[in-house]
Amino acid sequence: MIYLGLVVNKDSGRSLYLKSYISSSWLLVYIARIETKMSARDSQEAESPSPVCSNYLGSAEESIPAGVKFVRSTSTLGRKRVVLSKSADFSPHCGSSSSPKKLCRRSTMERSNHLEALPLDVLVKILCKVDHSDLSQLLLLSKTLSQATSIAKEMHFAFATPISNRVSKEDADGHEEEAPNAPIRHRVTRSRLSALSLSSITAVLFPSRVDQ
Amino acid sequence: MAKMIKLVSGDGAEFEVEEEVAFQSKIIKDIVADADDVIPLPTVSSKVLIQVIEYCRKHAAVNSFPLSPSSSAAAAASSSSSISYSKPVSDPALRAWDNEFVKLNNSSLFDIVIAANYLDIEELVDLVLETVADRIKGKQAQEIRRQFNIENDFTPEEEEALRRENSWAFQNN
Repeated sequence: MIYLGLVVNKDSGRSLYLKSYISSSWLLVYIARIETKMSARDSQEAESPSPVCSNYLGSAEESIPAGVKFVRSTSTLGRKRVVLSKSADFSPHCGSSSSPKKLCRRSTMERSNHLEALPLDVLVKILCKVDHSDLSQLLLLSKTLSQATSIAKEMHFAFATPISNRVSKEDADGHEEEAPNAPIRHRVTRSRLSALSLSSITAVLFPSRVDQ
Repeated sequence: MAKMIKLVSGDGAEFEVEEEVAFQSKIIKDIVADADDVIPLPTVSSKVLIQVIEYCRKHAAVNSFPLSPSSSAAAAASSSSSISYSKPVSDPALRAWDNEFVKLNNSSLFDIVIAANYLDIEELVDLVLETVADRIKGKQAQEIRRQFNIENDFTPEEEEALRRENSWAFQNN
């Protein structure tokens, strides 16, 4: 089930809500139709649809059952020929669009506070709060994020212990979790001292009122 | 009698808030100490300022109690380092309110990040940064790109070079 909400900031202040149970290609057609209508009129800046557009497309892709395949199809909307392809391709389309009539206008996205538009020190602070395991993903995202991740690594992760997410499992030795490069202990040494042998050489320094 | 501070947003709207509410912002506290009570905030829009004031109002009651020695020491320690470690909000009701407060889309959240950072409101900064970090954690690169509309500006060669340089990150997770 795909729930889509598109708020269109028009002079009439109408909002458009779609609930769609049907396949994704129809979904993409619908979004394309609305976007072309918007861009055709192009009155106020519509901040919300652009990021919403990509977000919802993202969620649409996730909720599609595995068996459905995205088909590359073209359709003519009005006088424009719109290429509909897999929604993952929308992100590069969004980025590379220069003409204002394409889907997901880049300029509106930049204005609506992109993650990369945040000041570098704020970005580093955010990245310091993620887990060690996320760093590998962040390094390859983009140049800005890669730089911020390196800084975060030098300032924070180099001094912090990675938090292990693995559920602790019992292995043959009965230890709960084994350190990755720990030396193998074939025999756990027992203490050779016993309380009885120590009593002859020990003395109570601070006698307590309650005797055990 | 509570002293009122006047905050003027970027688009000219004026907001009168109690002193203790406004003083959660260290910047405002410093300005009021030096100058007068009308504080122009040209970089903060009304919409964001309203949300920030709402947060400060909610948290003003918590902060009005005198700090115990341990928590003031922790506050001093955290302010000296550039990366501060957040003190978790202890009251569960307040935490629940905070969680509702940050249920925003990325764009609005970033507006608050920038405003809170500019106004230097420690708890709010921690809260929103933690929220953004939660949206990044545990995700694969493609997912993160999709959620935040990030373009991959690496060439395949650059990406390969990065992987090699940073092999420490790509060891078993």
